[in-house]
Amino acid sequence: MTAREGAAGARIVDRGYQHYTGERRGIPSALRAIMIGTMKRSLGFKRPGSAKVFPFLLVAASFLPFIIVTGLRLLIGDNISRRVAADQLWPYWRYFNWLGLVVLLLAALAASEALCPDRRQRVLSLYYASPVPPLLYLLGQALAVALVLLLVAMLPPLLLWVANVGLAQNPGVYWQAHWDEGPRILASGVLLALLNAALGLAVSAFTERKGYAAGALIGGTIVISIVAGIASTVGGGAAKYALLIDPLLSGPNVARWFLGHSLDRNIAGPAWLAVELTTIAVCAALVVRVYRRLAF
Amino acid sequence: MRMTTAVHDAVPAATAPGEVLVATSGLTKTYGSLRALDGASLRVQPGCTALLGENGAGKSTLIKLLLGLNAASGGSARVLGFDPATHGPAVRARVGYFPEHDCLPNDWQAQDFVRQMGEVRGLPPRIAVQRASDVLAQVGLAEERYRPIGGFSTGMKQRVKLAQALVHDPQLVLLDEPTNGLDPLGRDQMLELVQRVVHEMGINVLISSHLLADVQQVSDAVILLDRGHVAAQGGLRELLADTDTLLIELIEENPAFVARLRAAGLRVDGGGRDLRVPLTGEAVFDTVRDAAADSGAGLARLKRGARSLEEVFLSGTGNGARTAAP
Repeated sequence: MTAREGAAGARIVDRGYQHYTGERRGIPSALRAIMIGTMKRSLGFKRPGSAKVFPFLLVAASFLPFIIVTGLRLLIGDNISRRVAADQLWPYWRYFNWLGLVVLLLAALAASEALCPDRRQRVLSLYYASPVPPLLYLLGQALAVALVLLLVAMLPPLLLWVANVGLAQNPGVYWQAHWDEGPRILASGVLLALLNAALGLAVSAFTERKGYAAGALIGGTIVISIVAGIASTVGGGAAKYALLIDPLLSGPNVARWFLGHSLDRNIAGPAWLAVELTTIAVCAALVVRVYRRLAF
Repeated sequence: MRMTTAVHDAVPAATAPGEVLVATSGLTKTYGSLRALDGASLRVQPGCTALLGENGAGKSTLIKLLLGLNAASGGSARVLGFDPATHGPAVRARVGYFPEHDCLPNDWQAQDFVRQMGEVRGLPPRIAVQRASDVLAQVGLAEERYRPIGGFSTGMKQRVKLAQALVHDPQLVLLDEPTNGLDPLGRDQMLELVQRVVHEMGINVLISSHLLADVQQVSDAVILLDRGHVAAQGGLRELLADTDTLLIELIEENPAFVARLRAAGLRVDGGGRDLRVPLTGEAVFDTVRDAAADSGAGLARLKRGARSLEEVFLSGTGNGARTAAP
């Protein structure tokens, strides 16, 4: 309620209902609202304290190597580089191994938060009754999950790379030798985020309960990982390719390929990338299919 | 008003008094062999119009078609000048929707949720925050707006549903059974709110209900749906008017007056001071006047009879055995 103050100090505190005659925005603005709302809630904002704990821990875990390595370099300086190159204290490829697990866990939280409550509590009917077409609503939710995952999949190693450049004895020389690592880290992070977002959303599209969705994603990934590991070990020759279906290895191996590091069981980088892109595409198609069938 | 996308620029909307907000012609929707809506032709004019019918009469189907959420199997519709089948987003940008079922996120604050719905329907973020506060205050939730919706009573949740339907200042609000699940006090308060929406806020309302009393309390016009058909429609006064009966109110009881009416060939129903005679023509008034003069009866009032909405409903549905809840 707005108040207007008169010359004698009188105030109108209730002007009743006011019609809105100002600017009205379109679909992009609505999409932005959906994205920001979901991003905030995936990270625990605007929710009870208990809902903030796990997202906070996972985000903290993703930045931990960056904080430790950069902190050590700032505190001890170049003394640590006698045994190992300062920028190899925690190589980027190893960082992505760590992030593979962290991103999966955050995907379980974020994707289930994005899709399940709106269906379970039937809020979806209100979104569908807005100017936003159903598939754009879905796009908004998917982008929100992907952006949340990007926060942990890309930002920490990217910051580590920036710190490595900045803390090098000769940053200019270091930059010339290592500038290409930035885009490689960027691409690796984006793909890792997209893979886990797609997997999380695909699982969450099949249930209205957040707990089931998160449990199914984490449990399913563990089971697939174990099965793929066993199959690749007991079988001979081509059986090693069973590892390709392991979501915990897929993203990190693409990152290792991008960053020029050796790959699990010498499976070619393009094979890991092809599986990752196919998984993303199949999951996206599954989610769209499920939502197209949802009755209003 | 500056509008930034095709959703808002498509066609100027019809809002002037006297214009038709909603018009359908032969609108049909089938689900397999079931005809949920069967050639419905109706018109909704500014004010409050009630969509009255039993469960399964086709009310919710009609609302979905008007919002452009389902495709019609036949016929056509115009909502605020738009065809919902081809301009669904433009319709939904201008219409507020209050679903019959629960549709609120329990762990959101009311303020956040209504603001979010405002932004999704085109309000700039800062305006959405302000209007969310305003409409929540208008529906009586000013103090509670920062509380999680999950802790609200049914009546408060219904108010949040109304607030989210109003936040973007729509030209028309579709209310689907807004008094469902409310106790008598909550029901009265909700109906008062609906009347405020129409008369104080100046927003047109199409209210779907199976409760005759609700409809009679708030609406200016009624569309009676029966098994997918429009059984009757029109202004409430016209529908309730019964030109076949003349109501006579005497100052005091007068048997001689009744005897003279009967002697004149009129059938007299009722008794005491309140009598009813069939109104077969203007000559009936002369007969009543003469009988009163001859018997010395004092006439307090002569009035054309009116039907109850229940009678309209029963005659409209063509089945006296089937009744709507009173």
